[in-house]
Amino acid sequence: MLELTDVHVEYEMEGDGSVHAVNGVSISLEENKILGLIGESGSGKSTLAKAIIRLLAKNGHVPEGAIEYKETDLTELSDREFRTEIRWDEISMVPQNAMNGFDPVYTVGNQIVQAIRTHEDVSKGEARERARALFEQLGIDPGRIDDYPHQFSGGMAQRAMIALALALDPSLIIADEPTTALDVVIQDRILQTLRDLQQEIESSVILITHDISVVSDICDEIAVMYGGRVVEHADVETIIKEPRHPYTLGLRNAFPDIEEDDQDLISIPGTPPDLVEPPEGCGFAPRCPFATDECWDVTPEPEEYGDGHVVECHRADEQELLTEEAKRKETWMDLETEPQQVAEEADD
Amino acid sequence: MTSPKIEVDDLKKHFKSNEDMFTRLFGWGEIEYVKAVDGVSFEIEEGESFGLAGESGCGKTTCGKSLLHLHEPTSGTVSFDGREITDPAVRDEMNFRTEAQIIQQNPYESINPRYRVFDWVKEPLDVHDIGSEEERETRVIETIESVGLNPAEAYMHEYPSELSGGERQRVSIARAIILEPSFILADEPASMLDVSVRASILDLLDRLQDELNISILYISHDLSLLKHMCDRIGIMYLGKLVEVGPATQVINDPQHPYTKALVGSTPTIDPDDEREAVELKGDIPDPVNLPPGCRFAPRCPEATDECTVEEPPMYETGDDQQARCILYDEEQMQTIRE
Amino acid sequence: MSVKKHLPANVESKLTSSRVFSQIKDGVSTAYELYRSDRLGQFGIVVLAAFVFIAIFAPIIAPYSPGARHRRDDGSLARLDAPSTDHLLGTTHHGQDVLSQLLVSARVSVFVGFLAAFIAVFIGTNVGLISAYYGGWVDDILMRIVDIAYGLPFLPFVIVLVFIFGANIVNIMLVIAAILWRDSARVVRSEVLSQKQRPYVESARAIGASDFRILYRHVFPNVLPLTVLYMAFAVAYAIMYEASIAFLGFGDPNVYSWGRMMYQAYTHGAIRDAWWWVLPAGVCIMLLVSSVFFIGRTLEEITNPEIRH
Repeated sequence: MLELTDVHVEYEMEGDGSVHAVNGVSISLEENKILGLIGESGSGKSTLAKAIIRLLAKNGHVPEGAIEYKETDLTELSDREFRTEIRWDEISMVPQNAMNGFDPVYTVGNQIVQAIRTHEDVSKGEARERARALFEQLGIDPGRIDDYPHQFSGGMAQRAMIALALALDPSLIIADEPTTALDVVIQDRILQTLRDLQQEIESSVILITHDISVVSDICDEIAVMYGGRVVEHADVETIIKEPRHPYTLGLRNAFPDIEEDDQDLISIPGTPPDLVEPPEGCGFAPRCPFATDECWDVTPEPEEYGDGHVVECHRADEQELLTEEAKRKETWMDLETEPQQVAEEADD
Repeated sequence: MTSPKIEVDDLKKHFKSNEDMFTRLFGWGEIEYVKAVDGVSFEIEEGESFGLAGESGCGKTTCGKSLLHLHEPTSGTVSFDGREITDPAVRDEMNFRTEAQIIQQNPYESINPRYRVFDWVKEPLDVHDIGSEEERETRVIETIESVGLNPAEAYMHEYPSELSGGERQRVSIARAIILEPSFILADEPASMLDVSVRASILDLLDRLQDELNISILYISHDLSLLKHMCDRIGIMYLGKLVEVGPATQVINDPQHPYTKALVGSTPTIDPDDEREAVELKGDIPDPVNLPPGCRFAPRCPEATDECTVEEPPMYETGDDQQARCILYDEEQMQTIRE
Repeated sequence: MSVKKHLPANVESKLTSSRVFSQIKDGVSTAYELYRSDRLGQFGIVVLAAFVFIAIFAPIIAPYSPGARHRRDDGSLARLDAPSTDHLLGTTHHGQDVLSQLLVSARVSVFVGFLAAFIAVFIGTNVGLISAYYGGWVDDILMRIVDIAYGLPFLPFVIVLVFIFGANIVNIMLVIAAILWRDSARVVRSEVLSQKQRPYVESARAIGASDFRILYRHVFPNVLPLTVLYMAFAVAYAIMYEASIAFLGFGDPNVYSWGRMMYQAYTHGAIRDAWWWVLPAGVCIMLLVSSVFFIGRTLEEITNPEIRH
């Protein structure tokens, strides 16, 4: 249904140079699936989502690549076509902070009614009925439809935002960290609602988050982003249980799991790559304990290992060894000193 | 028997919610109180890490800050090494501010933007007038390096805006440990950091705790993190502790219905894991007008009529584990069953 | 501490020198940014610098003593002579050299402008800091005083005070400061209210810093840009107020000022006839005030990037 081919996104910076936030992403999403997009801040996950729904900041653009949605290349549509035919009708978005998503001077119901009526030819009463039904589905008292956004709690506002996103039965919903600011009880409730509704209306969802446990809870597939590229993509089971990319292995180590009793947390040393001048070779090489000379010099191409499991790593075929080694704290510790030595030498 | 490092006894902190000039100057009108912390008691042993968990608004942060005396508690006592620090004379005498420190949540705002790293880390020494200027500088450099910012020279002239989130949090930790305190309040120390950095900050705290034998009070909404970092955990709901016990025990075998709901809602990494979901009704009530009886009763899936009669005390439910729930009252349960 | 590391002996000197150096560097780069960022700011700086120079060296530059009465060749008083090579800006009703008076008058404007503004902003900043930081009844009382200060009608207030304490330049300066402090008090207070919620203030309290230290070492540096900005506006207002007071005849009779020059021209009915007596003083007031406003405007853009463009 959605097919990205070699998508690049750049932000022009003041002065010269540009930030290559997304650096050649090819990924496809089938109908009726939830795709989890995970990565750290600066990995390009939000940028990619905004590029799809064309909500990039003014200085951002897509210089290369195709975003095909139901056989139309979205990058070739004019802004006007995109606004009237795609956004909200076909693809909608749930932003991170719902409070900012609503206009504070209109009631929540009013904004949903307006959204429906700009895209569909229905009466005010009909649109209102639909808004009330949506509220009900999302577990908000329909009586509160005439409340202003500030009268809602954070969790309620987020649910109302989902209601707005679902109002036109889109086939694709992009949710950008929809529960990051919320408490676990509400987070759980919202994620379950999202999952239930997604199955009910048979749409697809792209869920962007930095929380690996959130994606594994409700997603069908996971794409791991690093330095503007998707470094590993597979179904949830595979990513969690048999990851092949060292970054995915590292993330897994760094995350405290409530199920484990005696977990040794291991962080990934170093810092995310420079996106202004992306270096040659694999973007993760400077932080990777398994990097070889090849990794520093040649950018790995995506390769498929088994059913839809795509990895961008020269050593992905050595899965067993990597998995074993990655569990040891020393593997990652040894590396911690090296880049600094290099930096010091450079200083001299 | 030696006294615990910290002993909190029936600590309360009520904020005035509607005070204005006329009530303040002339005492007109009636004042309403937000009962942010409403009778909390617990102990932290020397070298122990204790975690306070709960949803936002449950009073965990206010509790921690009242304990550090950053808020003046409304009532109740806090003892530090067996001495009541709620008394200002005692605080002065034991130099409380050199003994207890804080690590704050938001590394992007917790460092004064006009201070360089060096001055920020050194300030506690200046305030308490410790050592000569040279000694201070040596100590600052050592401390900056001991939190993993190597070499110190590369960091100490920087303004915080030039550092990454992880580096800033290390600077905050350096400032907190430079006076070699025996207690640290860590208020969501890693929640604003990226996953890969988070682990290294938690590791650092763990290491420093061992090396310097510090007691740490962790405040977090993240049960996975608390389980990993803490020896014991207390769960707070609307200003009161509802369950206390050893970390692994509380998470693996929660007793209070609220703890069960929290644990059940926490996402797990294993995709096969089917957890028993506990449905909670409604949202957290307003801490100004608390419901009668057990304050969790209106949302509790196991509530009975009894629950709304009287606030339950803490009941022993297992090894060193207590829960504030009528389900664990033998007599009550007897009568209900009959 | 667990880490013991030998430090080279020159670390200390390196530290201090590099810190001082980088502070100077910061200051210079800010000033450069100010200079580069817009032409009006550049204009303001040049004009202000010129007036400060004139104020300092007025007695040396001025061709005559401002009080000296000049006579024509025929021995009569040079009353209201038009500009000539002897008197570039002509003479007054009393035969005094206008240019000399104009130059010497710059002293009063610059002196009163800066000092009154400094006193006003000093009081205002402290009131704002203390009011916001302590809150409660302290805030109630201080802010009600500010409200009252806003209620003072400028001219009656000045006339009454000058009548009671006497019309000398120090009193006039204090009266101006007494009117101007209210603006900075209010603005600083609202900024401190937001600053004191920031976690760094709590961090300072946790290490045991005194209220004084928190207020002046932590909060104040963060409101300083705002203070400087209000200082610039206060200077402009103080210069205008001084000129108004003098023009209305309540100024210090022993001091030359542009306002007084215009007042004298007015009382001698010479405004229509002797443009050279009135116009230069008016232009000077306008130039000086606008130069300070332009600088303030540029400062505002530097300290508050949101209003750029």
